[in-house]
Amino acid sequence: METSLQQPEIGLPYDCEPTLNDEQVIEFCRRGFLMLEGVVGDEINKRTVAFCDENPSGQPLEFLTEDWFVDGVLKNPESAGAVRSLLGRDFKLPGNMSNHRAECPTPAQGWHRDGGSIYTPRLDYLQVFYYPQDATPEMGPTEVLPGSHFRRCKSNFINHVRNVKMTEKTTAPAGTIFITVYSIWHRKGKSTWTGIRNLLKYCYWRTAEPCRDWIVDPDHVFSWPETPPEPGFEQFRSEIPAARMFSWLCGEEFEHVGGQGWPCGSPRTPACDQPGLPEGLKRYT
Amino acid sequence: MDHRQQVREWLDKLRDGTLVEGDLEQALDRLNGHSDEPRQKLLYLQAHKSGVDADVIGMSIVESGEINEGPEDPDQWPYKTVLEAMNDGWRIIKFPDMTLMLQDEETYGLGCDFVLEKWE
Repeated sequence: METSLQQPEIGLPYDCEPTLNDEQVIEFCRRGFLMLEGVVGDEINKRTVAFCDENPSGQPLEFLTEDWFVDGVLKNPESAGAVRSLLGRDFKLPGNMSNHRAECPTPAQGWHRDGGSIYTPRLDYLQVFYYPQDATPEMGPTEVLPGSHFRRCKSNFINHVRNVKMTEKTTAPAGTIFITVYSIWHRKGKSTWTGIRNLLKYCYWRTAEPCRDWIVDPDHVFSWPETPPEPGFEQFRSEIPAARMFSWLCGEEFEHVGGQGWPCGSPRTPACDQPGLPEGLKRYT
Repeated sequence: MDHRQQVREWLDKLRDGTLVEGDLEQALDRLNGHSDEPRQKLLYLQAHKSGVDADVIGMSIVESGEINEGPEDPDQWPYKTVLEAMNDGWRIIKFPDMTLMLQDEETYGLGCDFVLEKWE
């Protein structure tokens, strides 16, 4: 077993300005992931690919001691700002690093949630993916199932699930980072391209108690949201766990009261606070 | 060629007086050349609801010893509902597990799992 690398910043707290607003945080809670396209610069991307070639391990810890990588990727302002919004101040920088380095072409992987997944309204960590090179459809980019972080399953019991209507491919340019709730269903897509594809994966961790300290709009109306139907879920059954997660992130008490209580959707927005809306999210009282 | 259709053709030829030894030998050669035994095909359909007329939201087919995910574009999928598949000769061998639906607060898996088969 390798000895641990000595580097002051591995796994240590970091703070920066939040970059997500209320709507974006709610959307993240509902969908379970968000994409930040091309936020890492080309020079860093190319350097990362070269570094992957020099360190082709599936667990390239060496990245964590490279200042250019820590500054350019782990502390990337847009990405770290999103992480800060979701995990609060003084979140911990990654202490581990994976590279899903694939020699393409490959068949599609099975859908799965990563090991250790739990179902909770808490958001204590984020699993983050970084493409240092373009992720074209031919390369078999990661596919995710929006909202699936709330679909209970065991990976070995969804092996028969293959082609899914609601799949979103993370097709994206080099330098894209996508942030996920750990339990989201995902898989590597089928690739027809020939070559080596790198996908770096790492986690950030919360240290602060949750509170609504991202970019807050005091006039934002949370009541009577729009709730498009979500295939495979009973009506509002994807919004309710998202509301629990969002309330927890705000540091607010929330118990789903049922009926037309929050977050039950409404095509039109009555000018009143919705029953069941947490106190701190009320607009009219 | 379907076995029954083959036998019907032989009967027609027998009635015409045109059935010859070669016709039967040809069929025997085909049988010797490969297995003509029907094989099970499986169609996995995940539906939005438990009724056979509910929209299909996931699919895969197992045929000729391979798993096929079908067209990438859901609009090109062969069946939009389980009922369409049934009308195309598929037989349901597994219905959705209703016990998974009873825990009110949670959603399990991807929709309602139907498994259908054909023997061809």
